[in-house]
Amino acid sequence: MSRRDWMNLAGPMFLSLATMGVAGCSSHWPAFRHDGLRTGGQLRGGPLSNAAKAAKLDIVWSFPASAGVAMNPPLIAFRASPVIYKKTVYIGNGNGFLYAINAEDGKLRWRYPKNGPPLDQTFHSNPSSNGIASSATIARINGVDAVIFGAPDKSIGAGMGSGRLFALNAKTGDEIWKSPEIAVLLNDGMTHEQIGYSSPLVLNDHVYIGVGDHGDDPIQRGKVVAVFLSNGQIDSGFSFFSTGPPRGGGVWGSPAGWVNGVYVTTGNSNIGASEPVPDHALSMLRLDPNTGSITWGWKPVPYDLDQDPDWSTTPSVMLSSCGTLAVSTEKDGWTWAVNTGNGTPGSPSVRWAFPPGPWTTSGFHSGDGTTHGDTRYLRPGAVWDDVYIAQTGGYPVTANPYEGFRHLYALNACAADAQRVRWIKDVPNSSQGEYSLGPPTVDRGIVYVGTDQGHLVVIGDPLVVAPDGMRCYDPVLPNNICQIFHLPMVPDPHVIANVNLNAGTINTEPALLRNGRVYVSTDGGQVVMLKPKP
Amino acid sequence: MRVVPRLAVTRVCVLLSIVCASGCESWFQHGGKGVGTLPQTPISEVNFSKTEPAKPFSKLADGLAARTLFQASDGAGTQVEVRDLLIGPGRKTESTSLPGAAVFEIRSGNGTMQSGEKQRELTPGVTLSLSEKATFTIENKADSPMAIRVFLFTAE
Repeated sequence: MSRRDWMNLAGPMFLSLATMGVAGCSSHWPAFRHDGLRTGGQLRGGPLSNAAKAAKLDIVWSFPASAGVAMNPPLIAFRASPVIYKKTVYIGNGNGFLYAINAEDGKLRWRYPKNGPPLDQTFHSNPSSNGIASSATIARINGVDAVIFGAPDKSIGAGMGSGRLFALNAKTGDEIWKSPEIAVLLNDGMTHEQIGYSSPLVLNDHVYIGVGDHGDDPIQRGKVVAVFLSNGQIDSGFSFFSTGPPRGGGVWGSPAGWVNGVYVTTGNSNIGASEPVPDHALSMLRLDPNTGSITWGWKPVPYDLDQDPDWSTTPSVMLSSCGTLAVSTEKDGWTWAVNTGNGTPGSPSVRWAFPPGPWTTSGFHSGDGTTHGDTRYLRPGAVWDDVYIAQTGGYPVTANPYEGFRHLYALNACAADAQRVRWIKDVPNSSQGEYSLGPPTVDRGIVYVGTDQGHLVVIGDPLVVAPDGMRCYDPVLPNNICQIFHLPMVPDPHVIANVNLNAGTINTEPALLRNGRVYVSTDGGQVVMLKPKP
Repeated sequence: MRVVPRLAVTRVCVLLSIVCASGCESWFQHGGKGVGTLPQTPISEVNFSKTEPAKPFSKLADGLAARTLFQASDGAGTQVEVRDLLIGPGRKTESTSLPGAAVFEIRSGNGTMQSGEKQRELTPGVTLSLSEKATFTIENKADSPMAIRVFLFTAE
C-alpha cells in the first residue's frame, strides 16, 4: 500500500475504530457476531482459547430460573443472540420484551418496555415475527453506553407492529431515542415489511438495519435504512432498495461494516412474473455508507435459476493475510469470498467459491447441472485469522444440496482451491438436517456451536488440539475410496467439550467473553451461562 | 525536502495511539499474520478417523464407486432406483454395465462415456440414457471427481 493510500485510509479507519471502540476488539461480546465485521470471534484470548479449560465448561446459571421471580409474561423461544457488555447480558425475547440480566448471577436488572405492552406485531408468520428477534448492539451515544435493537411497535404507523429502532440507556433501560417507522406493516394485504432477525450495525455516526418481510406472499422490496446514531432520525441522504418495484431482495441478515463499506446480502425476487429493474436480489453487495449506492454486487444465481435461494446469511468481513474479503454462504449451499476492494465502484472481484467450479468467475448458467432452491444454509460463519468456519454445502452440493447440513467446515480463505478445506466435523448431538447447528463462534482456534438437540459443542482446530484422525475432503466418500482415488484427506477435529444444556434447541450464537464465560440463548426460552470449573 | 501533510500525520498518530491504548493492536494487524494451512500428513502415516458417511459409496468397478440413495416399486412391475456414481479425477473406469435402463445426469467433472461405438461428451448438466445391460466406460478428465446421478429402471 502506498503512502498516499495509507493516508487516505487513515481518516476512515480513525472514524471506524473510534466508533467500533466498543465493539471492534472488545473482551466483551457487544454485538451480533461480536463486532461490526461480524467475525463471530473473540479476538482477545483467555480461558476459552485454552483447550484444557474449555473442556471443563459447566453450567453456572440459567435465566429466568436464576432471576428468582416469575417472568410475566413468560419467556418463549429466543431467536435473538445475547450480547454482553460491562457484566450485563442484553437480549430480546419472542414475548416482546428486552431483558438486561446480571452476567455474573443471572438476576434481572431491568426489562423494556418496563410497564407498557410488549413489542410485538399482528402477524406471526415465522419465528422472526415473534416479539424481538433482532440481536442488540452496544454503542456510545453522547457519552452514554446504549443498547440498540430493532423491534415491532404497535404504537406507530397503522398500529399493526411496524418495525423501528430503539436506543436505551444500557445502565437504566431508559429510552435515549426511538426511530421513526422503518419497516412498514399495513392491513392492506400487500405491505408487510419487517426487521426480523436483522441486527443493527453501528458504523461511524450511523446505525444501519436491514428490512425483509413476513414470510413473503407477496414478497416485499428489501432495503437498508440508516439512522443517525445521535438521535435515531432517518438519514434521507442514504437510500438502498434491493430491487425496483414491485418486489424482492429482502435483507434478512445483519449488515456488516468496515472502514468505508456496508456489506449486505439479499433474498430472492423471482415469483414467476417479469424480473424487476434493477434486480439486486440474490446478491452480496458493498454499499457506500454515506449514500447507499452500490460499490459492487455479486449475483451468482441469475433470475431464471432463482428457485428461492435467498441470500440471507449475514456476511463476514475477513481482514485476512490475502486482503480484506467479504465472505458468506448463500441459501443454496455455495460459499463465496469477494475481495472488498478500495471503495471504487465497479465489477465484483470474486476470490473464490466453495465448492469451486466454472461458476467461480461467471456465476451459474442454465444447464450447468446446478440447482438453487430453498435449501436452508442460513447461519453466518466465524472468522479466525485466515480461517472461515461455517455450515456449507461442500463438494457434494451439486449432487445433494442437503448433505452439508451434516457437517461443519473450516475453510482456508487464503489458500488455493485444492487446499480450501481445512477440516470437516460431523457435530455430535445434532440432527444433521436443516437448522441442525446455530451460528458458530470462535476463540483463537476453539470453535463453539449450539445444536438443535440442545448441546453446546466445543471443537478444537488441529493447531490447538490433535484431531481424531483424517477423513476424505469430500465427506460422502468413505476413507478407503478416498485413498483409492488418491483424493486429499483432511483432519476430523477433536471435540473438546459437549455439554447438554437441557434448555431446548439452540438457534443462536454462543457469546464468548475473555474472562471465560459463555452465554447461550435457546428455543426453550432460557439464557444459560457457563464457565470452566476450577 | 518533501513535506508530509501535517493533518495526515496527526491522523495516523491519533489512530495508532487509539489502537495501542485500547489493546487492539493484534486485531488491527490481524491481516498480517495468517494461521496458514495445516501441515500435510504423508499418506503412509494417515490415521483414519472413525467418522464414515451415512450413505457411503462402495466400489462398483475399477475406478468407479456407487451408492444407492433411493429404491421403490411403481406397483406396476417396475423397480426404480436412484444411484450416485463417482469417478475419480483423471480416472478411467473398466467396462461395466447396470442391471436396467438408465438415465444419467452429470453433476460435476468433465470427460467422455464410451458405449459400443458411441462416444459422448460428459459435462455438468448433460443428460443421457443407456439401454439395459449396455456396457460402458467413463473417463473423467477433470482434476476433481465426476459425480453422476443415475435413475435406474428394472423389471421386477
